[in-house]
Amino acid sequence: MKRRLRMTFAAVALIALVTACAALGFAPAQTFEQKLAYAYTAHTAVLNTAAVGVQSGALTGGDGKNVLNGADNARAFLDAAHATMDTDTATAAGRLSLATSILTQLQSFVCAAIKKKDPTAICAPPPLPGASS
Amino acid sequence: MNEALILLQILTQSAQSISVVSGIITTMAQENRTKMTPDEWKIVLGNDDSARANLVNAIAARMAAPSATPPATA
Repeated sequence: MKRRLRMTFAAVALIALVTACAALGFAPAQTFEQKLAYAYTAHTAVLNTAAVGVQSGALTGGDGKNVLNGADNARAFLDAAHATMDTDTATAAGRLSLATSILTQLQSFVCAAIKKKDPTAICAPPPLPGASS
Repeated sequence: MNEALILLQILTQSAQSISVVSGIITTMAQENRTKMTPDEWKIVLGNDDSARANLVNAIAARMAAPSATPPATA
């Protein structure tokens, strides 16, 4: 059981690390569209991290639902940014920024729950790869 | 055992989705493109949709067995 939990948190830590670490050799985003694509992967990582959190018991089912709802809101902003990026760049940028903010808060929440379960777990809120470059 | 495989799958999917975008960006640079193709977007969005389905399934499994936080020992 303890071994399984350790493996779970190791996986979460790796997800956070991979998500956070643009220095691992990932190509930096040069265009808004590429930043948006990376933001979608951050969204994917939050969902995956939350799934691990729910499966490991770090998150309750209710917490998982709340994270899912928040992630759906972030996805709606990402989709809206995608839909308008060629016609209204400023609005699209605002939507991307809102989505990023939501994702950062969700990841912080999930990481806090995981660290509460296992204080030695490494789970840092991820900056979006390439989104700030 | 199954959970270990699930975790490995989740981990792989996260890393994969990031490296896919990195690969797309690299390809765009090599081909001197500024726009992603619909197929490239389909891959990015498909990964995200799969991750959502994973979370939905995890929530459903947990809600179905709320008292089974630590799985019962045999």
